[in-house]
Amino acid sequence: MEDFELQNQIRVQRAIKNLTQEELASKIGVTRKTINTIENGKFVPSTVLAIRLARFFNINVEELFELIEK
Amino acid sequence: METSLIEKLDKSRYNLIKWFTVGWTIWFGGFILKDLISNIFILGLIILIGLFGGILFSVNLLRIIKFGKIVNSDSNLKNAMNDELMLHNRNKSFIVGYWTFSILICIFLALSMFLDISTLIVCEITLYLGTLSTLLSSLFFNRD
Repeated sequence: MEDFELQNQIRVQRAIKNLTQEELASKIGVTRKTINTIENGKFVPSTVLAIRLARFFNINVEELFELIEK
Repeated sequence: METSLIEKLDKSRYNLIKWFTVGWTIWFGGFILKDLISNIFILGLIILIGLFGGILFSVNLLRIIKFGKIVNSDSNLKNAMNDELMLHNRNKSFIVGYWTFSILICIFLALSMFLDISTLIVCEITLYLGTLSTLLSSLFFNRD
């Protein structure tokens, strides 16, 4: 997995919905730190959380998360 | 903007662990030192500071238990407060604690070949540093 990088569009999607990290965290049912670390690529979410985030933004998981080969 | 309940609880949890760590450091540190010091003045001072640490530790332990009851009373809150990042960080903290325990045991084992070390001191120091490293790494991993 060292050769891959998971990029995400959470910041963009949040901006579209005009939500802060804290508001998104509250709606998804996680802490703000979780959203912050996922958004900054420091933490890779589970499949369940990735799907929940994608569903919330009404997009596919692969539109929200993209696996980039380094 | 109003701060959400999850955010408020997350911050209080961090503060609870922080003061619990301070209490543990002072109380158990003093508890170990009291057996090693013979000077009556220094011993009195250590007992007094240790007592303060003991109170801090006990009060925060009770607050953590109360906090746990509040969080566990609501399933949504419980899930949010024990989300995957929290569990991931908790695992990392326990790994740090495990390695601290293992390394300390190796050090004491090596020392025992050359020195006559009291079992009580070995147990106290291992418990003290093992717990302290777990708590400190938890604060480090969960920092903002």
